[in-house]
This record gives sequence, structure tokens and C-alpha cells, in this order.
Amino acid sequence: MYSGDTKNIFFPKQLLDMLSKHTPKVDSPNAYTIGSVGFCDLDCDFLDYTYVQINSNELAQQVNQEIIAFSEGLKAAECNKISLEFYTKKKRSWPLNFQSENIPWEIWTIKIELMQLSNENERQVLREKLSDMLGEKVRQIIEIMDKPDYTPKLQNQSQLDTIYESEFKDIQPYLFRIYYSLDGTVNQVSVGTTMKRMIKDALSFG
Amino acid sequence: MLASSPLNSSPTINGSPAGQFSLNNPITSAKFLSKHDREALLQYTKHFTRKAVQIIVQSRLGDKKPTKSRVYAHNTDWFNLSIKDLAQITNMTKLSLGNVESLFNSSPFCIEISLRTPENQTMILETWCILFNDQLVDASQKVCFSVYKKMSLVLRSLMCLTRSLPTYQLSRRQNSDTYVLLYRMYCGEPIVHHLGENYATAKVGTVGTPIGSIIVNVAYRTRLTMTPQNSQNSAEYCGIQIKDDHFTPNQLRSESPALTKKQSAAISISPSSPPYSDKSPRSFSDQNSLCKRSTSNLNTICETNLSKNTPKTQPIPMRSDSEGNNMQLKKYRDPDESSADEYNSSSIGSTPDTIYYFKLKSAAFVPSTSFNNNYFSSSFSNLSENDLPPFITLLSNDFGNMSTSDAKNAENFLAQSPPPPNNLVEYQQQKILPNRHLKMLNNEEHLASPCSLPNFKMLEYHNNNFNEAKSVLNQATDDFVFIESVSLFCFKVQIWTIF
Repeated sequence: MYSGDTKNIFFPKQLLDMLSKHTPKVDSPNAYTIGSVGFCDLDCDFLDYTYVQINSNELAQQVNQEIIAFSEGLKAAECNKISLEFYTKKKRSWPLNFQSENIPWEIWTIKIELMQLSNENERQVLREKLSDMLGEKVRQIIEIMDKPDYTPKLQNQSQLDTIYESEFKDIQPYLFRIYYSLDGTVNQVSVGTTMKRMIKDALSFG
Repeated sequence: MLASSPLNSSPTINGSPAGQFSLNNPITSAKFLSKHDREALLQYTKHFTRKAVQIIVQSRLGDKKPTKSRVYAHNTDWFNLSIKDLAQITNMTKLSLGNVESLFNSSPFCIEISLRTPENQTMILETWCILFNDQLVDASQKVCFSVYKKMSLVLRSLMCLTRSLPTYQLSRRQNSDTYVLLYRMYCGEPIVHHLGENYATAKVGTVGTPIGSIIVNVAYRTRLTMTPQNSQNSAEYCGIQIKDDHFTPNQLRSESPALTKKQSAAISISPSSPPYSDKSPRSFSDQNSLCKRSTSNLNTICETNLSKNTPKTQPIPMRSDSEGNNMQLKKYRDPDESSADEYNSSSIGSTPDTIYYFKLKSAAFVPSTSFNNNYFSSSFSNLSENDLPPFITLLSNDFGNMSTSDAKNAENFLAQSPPPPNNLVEYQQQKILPNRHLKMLNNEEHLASPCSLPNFKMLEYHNNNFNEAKSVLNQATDDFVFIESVSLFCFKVQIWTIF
């Protein structure tokens, strides 16, 4: 599987998630507005598939960098799992710890297994199957998005930076990060482990 | 009562259901809904339907037209989505849908996408359906906030789903020399019997409201076959010889010789789909009467005899360039990209019964957990094909040059512009102070504007009055739910969500 294929697989899924979890706003010193989100269609380079993404070059560039790095790691067998995590920042009030804590509220993980193909014919067949499968996965994601889910609510303007990413000039998605790892490694971040750590911290100070 | 039950789909004698809605209409009979919420729900549903149609039809035009994000939402940027409204599509939607209350009166609204060859052979590819189910009530959803946000989410899902279906790839390759895609809209039960065997369905999303749920579904063809017909007039259709690369764009024919290997030669019309004869196209003025007549035949007991040569309405012919309304849209895939379509043939065209088909890039059937698939399979339409509005060709890039009609039609807009930026808007918790909220939105002109919703008004924080502006929230309980993993051929996806 070429690294380009990896990018074409992961890109639409990540951007589909971003597409759904995104509220456009523009920060200004004294006000914020909610505008409208633009879209564009992108054709995959190596797959017969087209996906929709938010029309933001900055966001696409940032996501693209992470995915390219993941595809390089995939080729080198250093990682096989990539995750998209949406989180909120929680500012710690404890005087000894001024750093804010990232609390994930949704994590999407994709695990990829590479296959060795013997000839071009097999690759063509699998490419077509991969395109079909990608469409099927997108439909599954859409089905999941249709279910009730949790999204952080904004209570006042001071919380904008704790919920939304304000680095981009044209859009402000929910705070997110992309990380990749090798399946089976220790210290995997998950909602469960984060909750355990929070509860443990709370009990330790109690 | 389900949306597809006979009680809800009783025909009207005079005119369409758009003009007469029964007293059992959920939106009028819901006493617990305030007048404000009722009007808001109607307005949102109307624009939601229009936007959905725009998304579906524009995705089948065969081109890619990006839209820009805007800091300040435009008048037409409903649901915070920058989707351009093409005038022809908007006009057809208004004509076909009529009064949006008909949707609440158990009359689904359908959009049909079909394919037509230069030989006037047509094949239905997709049937999109927007319906209202009054049994799926979600009382927790607030009309002005939750419903609006969920509609926005469903439209985004629709945007993604339209690109992931096989018809999208076909639309990208359409050409006046090979085939074109058509669309038409109608009110009534969705017609799915002409989608072929093993058609698949998918649910786009559900918008829960206090009086029921608005559901968007699609049924799409997974196999594109044209078989010989055994009817009287089949002689002119059987054994039609076509070129091996009939469905291949010109650029691919010369540069992709691999595509020509597996192709047979003959194509003929399937007995399951009646032959299509030339018929004078219907004018736009007849469409309204067609729509009314079609809805009056909803429950007519007359089974459609598929073996008859039922003439099918011809699509509106493409006008010449001199009329300024039709320009050929030639969209080819990059010749460097190889087509992944498979071409199979039973024989290499020598007999009249030779079958030529190619398989669509079909996805596996994805069963929906909450969608009742029987809605499509059991609701056979008794409509005659003649009673339905004609197809409209999608092969026109003049769509982009048409100005939006909504901006010109002031009657359909209660609000024309977002509130000026220097207004200070006071927010309150909806559940705590509903009365003040109603007073704030008492002006009907602000009711319908996408920018006038409390969630989407502009906040202007004065330095001295920081506490005056508060956002409206719907606090959701924090529960943690883990969805079990799904493993497939190449991927293993583990999905965790919190709600």
C-alpha cells in the first residue's frame, strides 16, 4: 500500500469528522460571530473516491502534515494506528500546577494493516475494494454521527480558547490533535485512561 | 401512525395535499408547541428541504464547485453552511414541494436521479426521500436550537454521503455523447421498484423534533444492467449494438486500452423497466398540475403493469446554446486516473439477446439500526409514470450562472438581513426564562433569518457590561458510552464517543 493510499484513506475520514464537529466563528476583541462554512471536493490520488472537506487551507495543511508523517511511519513499521482526538482545556486552579489539562471528549481511532501484494492485478482489485470499503466506512461514520453525542458547550467568551482552536484565521474547529502509535504500545491515551487519571487525582487531593 | 400508513396518506380530492392539510396534521395539532416554535419549525423544515435538494442535485452535476467560508453568514447561508442556491433547482423544489406542511402530513418528498443515454434509454439510479415520522418524538429537542443544529449536521452528512455513493462517480463521467444524469422531484411514496434487484439503502440522518422526526434516506441502485425485453415493441430495442467503449469518456478510450478488454457489444432494455418512447416534453406550467394529480392517485388501486409499454415522460430537452440555458458540461476524470469500473459480459456481441452490463462501484448494504427499510420496499407507488414530473437534465453548467431566486423572492423570506453588528443582544438560558426569549424573538422578521437565532446572534461585549451577554445552552448530561469496535477487511476502527 502506498503512502499516498494511506493519505487518501485517512484524509477523508478525518475531514469528515472535522466537518461535523466544527462551528465557524471569528474572534475579535469584543465580539464573536458565527458565520458559514464553505466546502470543497477533493479527489483521491490513488483511489476512485472523492471526499468533502472544509474549505480551509490552514486546516488542511495541518491535518495533511500529520497524515504524511503517519504514512511515513507506517511504511517504516513504526506505527499502525492513528487517532483523532477532540478535547477541551481545563485550567488547573492548583497553585503548584499552572499548566492546563487536556480532557478528551471524543476519540476516533483507525488501525491500518498493510498487505503484501504480488502483482499489479491484485493491487488493482484491492484498490477497487478499498474504494468501496472507504465509502462504507464513511457511511458508518455518518450513522454514528446521527446518534446523540456530547459536544462541549460554550458558556462565555472566556471559554472560547478552551473549546475551539483559534489559530486558524478562517475557521475555528473544536480543539483537536492527531497522534499515531503502534498498536500494543503502552501509555495509549484514551478517554478511559484520562478519566481514571482525573478520578485518581481528585481522590488524592481529597 | 407511521408515515407510510394508509391513514396518513389518504388522497385528496381537490388539489394537492399542499393546499389542504388535515386537522390531524402534527404541526397544527400540537398544542404544546407555541406559535413561535411552530412557525420556526415550518421555516426550518422548508429551508432544510431546499438545502437538501440543492446538495443532492448539485452533487450530481458532475463538477466540483467549492464554496468559501464566510465570517458573516449570508442570507442564504442557512444552517451555517455556505451552499449556493441554484435558481432552477430552487424553482423546481418550490413547484414540487408546494406547502412544506404537506411534509408533516405524511407526504414524503422525493428526489430521483436517473441516467439517460443518447438513445433515450433511461435508468433510475437513486431515490432520495425526506419524510416525517410522527411516532419518533423527541420532546427534549428545542426547536430553535437543537433542531436547527441537528439539521445542520444532517445536511453535512448528506454532503458526505452524496459523494460516497456509486452514482457520484457516474456523474463525474457524464457526457452528452455517452450519458447524462437527470433529476426530478415529486411528493408521495418513493418509487423504488425500478432500482433493480438488490438495491441498497442508507440513512442520512434523523432530526428529532417535539412532534416527530424528519428522516432523510436514500435507496440506490447497486447494479447497472440492461437486459433484453420480451414485449411487443421490443424488436426495436433488442440487440442494439453499441461500441465497446460506449460508457467510456473519449479521453479514456485512447489512453486506457485495458478498459476495452472485457466489454461486449449489445445493450437492450430490461423488461423490468418499461421502454421509453419519444414524447413531447412537458412544460413547466404542466408540472404543478402533474404534482396535484399525482398526489391524488396515491391510493388508487391500480397496479402498474410493468410488462406493458408504458410510455415514460421524456426529460426536458436541452435547449440550444442560442437560448442561453444549456451549455454542455464536459467533465472528464483525469486521464491518468484509471477507472475502477468493472466490465463484464456474457458474450461478445453477436446475438440479439446479448447482455451488456457493467457493475457499479457498489458498496455493501449497510443496515441501519433505526431506519425501517420496509419503508422503501413495501411502499410501491401506484403512480403512473406519466403523472410524475418529467426529469430534468443535470448536464448543464448554466446552473452556476443562474442567480438565486430566493434572494429575489421576498415573499419567502421573513427576514432579509442579519441584525446589524452593533446590536447588543441579550442571551438567556432558554429553559430558565422562556418568556423573555419569546419577547426577544417577537419580531417575525428575525424569526426566519439564520443569523437571528439566539445561538447565532452576534455578541458584543462591552467592557463595562460583560455579564449582560450570555450564551444559550443546552446542557447535556455527561455520560460515557463505548461503542464496540468494528473490524473489516483492511481496517480496524475503534470508535469511542462520549454522550
